[in-house]
Amino acid sequence: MLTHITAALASTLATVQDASQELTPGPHLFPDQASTTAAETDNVYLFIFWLCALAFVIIVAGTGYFVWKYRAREGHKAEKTATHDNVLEVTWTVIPTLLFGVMFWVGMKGYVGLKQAPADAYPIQVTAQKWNWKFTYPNGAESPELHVPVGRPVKLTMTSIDVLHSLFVPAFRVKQDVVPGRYTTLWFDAKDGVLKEGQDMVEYDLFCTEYCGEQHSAMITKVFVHEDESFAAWAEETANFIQNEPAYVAGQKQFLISGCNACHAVTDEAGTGPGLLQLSQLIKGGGSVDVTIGGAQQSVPADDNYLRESILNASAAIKVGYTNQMPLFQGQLSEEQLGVLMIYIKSLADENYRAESTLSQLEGGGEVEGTETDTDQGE
Amino acid sequence: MSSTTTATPTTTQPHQSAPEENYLNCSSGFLSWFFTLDHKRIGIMYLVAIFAAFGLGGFFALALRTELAQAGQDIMDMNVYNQMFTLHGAIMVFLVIIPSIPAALGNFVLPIMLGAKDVAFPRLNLFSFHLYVVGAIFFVLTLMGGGLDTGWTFYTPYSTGHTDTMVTTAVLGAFILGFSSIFTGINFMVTIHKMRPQGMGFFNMPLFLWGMYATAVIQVLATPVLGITLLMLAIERNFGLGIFDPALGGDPVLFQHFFWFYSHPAVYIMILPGMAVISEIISVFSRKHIFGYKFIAISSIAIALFGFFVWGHHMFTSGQSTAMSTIFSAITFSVAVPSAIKIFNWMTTMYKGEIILKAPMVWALGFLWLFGIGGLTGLFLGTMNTDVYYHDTYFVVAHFHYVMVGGTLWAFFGGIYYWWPKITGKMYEEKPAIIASLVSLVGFNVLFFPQFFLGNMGMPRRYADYLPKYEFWHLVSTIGAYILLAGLLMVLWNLIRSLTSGGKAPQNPWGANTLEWHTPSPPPHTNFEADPPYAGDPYALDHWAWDPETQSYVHIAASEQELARVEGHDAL
Repeated sequence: MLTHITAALASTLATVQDASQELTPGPHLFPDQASTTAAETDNVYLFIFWLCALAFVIIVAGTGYFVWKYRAREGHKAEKTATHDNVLEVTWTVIPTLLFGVMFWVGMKGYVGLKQAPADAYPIQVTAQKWNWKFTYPNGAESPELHVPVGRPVKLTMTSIDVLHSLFVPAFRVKQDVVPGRYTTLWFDAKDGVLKEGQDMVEYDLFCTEYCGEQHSAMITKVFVHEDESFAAWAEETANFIQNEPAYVAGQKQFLISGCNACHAVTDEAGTGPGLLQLSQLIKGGGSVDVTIGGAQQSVPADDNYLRESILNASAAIKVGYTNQMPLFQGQLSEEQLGVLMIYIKSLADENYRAESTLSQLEGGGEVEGTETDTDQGE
Repeated sequence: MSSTTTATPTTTQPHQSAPEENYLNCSSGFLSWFFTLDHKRIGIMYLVAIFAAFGLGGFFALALRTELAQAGQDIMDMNVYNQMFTLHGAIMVFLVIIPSIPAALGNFVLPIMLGAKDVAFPRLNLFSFHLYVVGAIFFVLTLMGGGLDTGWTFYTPYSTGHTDTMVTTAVLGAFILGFSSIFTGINFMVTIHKMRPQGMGFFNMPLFLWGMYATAVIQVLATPVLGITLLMLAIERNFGLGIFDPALGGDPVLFQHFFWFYSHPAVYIMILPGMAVISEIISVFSRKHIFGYKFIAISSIAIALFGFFVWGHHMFTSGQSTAMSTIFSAITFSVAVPSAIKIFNWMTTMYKGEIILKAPMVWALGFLWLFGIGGLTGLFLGTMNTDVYYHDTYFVVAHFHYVMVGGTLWAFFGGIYYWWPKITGKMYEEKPAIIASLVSLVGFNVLFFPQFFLGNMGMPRRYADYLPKYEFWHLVSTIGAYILLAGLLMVLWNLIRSLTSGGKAPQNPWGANTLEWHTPSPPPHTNFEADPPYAGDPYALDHWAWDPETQSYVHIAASEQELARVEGHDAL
């Protein structure tokens, strides 16, 4: 009932959309006003700021003046004044109350506007996990960074598969907690003005801002704002990357999309999870791995079945020296995605998986030029 | 009598020097302290324990600020950092700031201000202290057994299912500390209701007691909710009963509602006693009757009451409905009004007064500045759309440190300095005390003001590492931390030195009129040597005149008050 009243209120208080499409810097160290609602948030900020500055000057200058003028000194005594004055009390009660009323009102208006996504907003799904973001686009494309078209509303529908996270884009002035077990939403419209002459893409920071464990401060990605054509091209290419790329290259992308890089290096370096180069070598050489199964330590062969289970149901067998931290990917990955992931991991030690084309492989190797194994664990 | 600039003492007032036997020396040995029923000794034990906890919490703060001085993982990895900020917060909130003024100063002063021998329930009072010690032991066990990395807010489901740290031990410790707080609240409420002297109605009692009373109401009503919440957390964590974790069928946002239902009123448990101390100090060191007594008193009750209805302003981005957020924001502004009223009344108290800049007043003036900033920055957070930007950023961190440290801690030190002569029978050295306060003030501002800038720049909180663009202000902030450390060490040194080589404190060094200044410094075991004096108006400061010979204020009869008012002057 209350929600309906508020929604009705909202429609009568149409959000002050920023009609000017120019890119304005934010005041007082705020980032650029990159969304259509950013200016409204900043204007409310400035209103409160100047009132606070005035109040602070009154308090500090007033107190400082009294301290100086009435300081204890030879010949100066305190004067017996009235000990109460109801008119004064009412005055300095009513005036702040009125000012606070205005503050509340403009803040509420702005908030309601932030909550009401326009009906035609471009929909993107967000899945958060410890410690990466996965964005899923209408055409099925997935990416660990957020790509959006410029100059139109975008609505994010978000959930977490583990703990609380929160999606925050300072440049858009938007934030919303991402809650496991339910969906929350957030919308924004990146102003046309963010793209300068000749530019077809610009990027902004996107932070996780609800503490979520060890790598909370590394759960940072970017928002890429594209011109329409650039966005469409990107979405097409990304949706089909598994079909379009050599398997190990596709696998490297899937590695980032699924957030494996947050815990696993592709070298020997141990992180929250083991570095994968050693496993790759064991698979190639037919070795075995020491794991804990049901509390008991065992040695199991390092083969395709072990690798598959480690991805889909990691808690079944934890490598000795590590804890049970890895999410379960059963049901989160299609066979194709799982397939290219496994090829990528095996390719770390085994050249046979790193071929660009079948012919070049048969003729003796040939990696795709310029491909680097991206071991970036985030900042 | 010749006309002099001082007044001679009458025969009816108590003598100036401390008697041979007082509450400190009337018995000795560990057991006479640890099992004492004397509220004054209990207050001192709390003071020592709280200082120790403050040192520990401060150590964690310095560790994390040192790590954050530069980008990159410099002296610790992310897991250690997450423990640092969690332990800093949990220790400071539960072991330092919440107990601070009520336990260390309230316990000592409250019964004497009422002309009473002790609180209503001395054994319950001792039990409160023992519970504090047990709770502290649980925190030590937490530290020793693997630490804690959930944040002091214990948000679920991370705390119930995603960390191996000592969550259960820590929440049990907080649960026990909660009872320490509840029992102190009950004790103070009953004492104020039933043990006021003849002639001291509610509206004749010192404002310090109004503050203690309002605080006690919150302690009793709100703390049990935290207790139950933490118990539910422990049950879910250990027995898998699904309350908060969606994987078990629970709701994580429900935890936030339960948690903040206590933790928002808790911040008023922190600040109301501070404001109560400030009311006393500003009146006495302006040599003026407090202005707006009734409004200040009622505002304490208003803050306590309204404070129960605003918890959702911590949850504007949690997924809470727009309607609920709107209601919480509106009521939040209602809590700001009584705080503003107090500040204006304090300033008007100083108007046309005689401002004596001794250490308690220097801390009180610092409070006005720092709580002023802290309170005003709360407006940005109560406003819904600016809060969407600021929530979980460094702006919030700066805001709450300004109110909790700049507010409560500054008032705590003001109160410690104010009542130090009464508690210890010693005078501290004034100049070093003032310098220590000013160094702390500078350090505090350098430490926390830049964090508002970081918030504006979008820097999230609880970050072990950060993007390079935030580095400059983090470095400045860390430098401020070390300056504050220097100031606080100077405070500690100044206080300890007074114990070893301070001058003997007179009965009333400040010329205050509340009843604790009508008994020797330090007081006898039973608080008053004979019957306590008639209470009267606690802010009638003209009952006292400065006597340069004894370097203290002496009580004067009515006719001499007129003489002193015309010719004399107060201590400079």
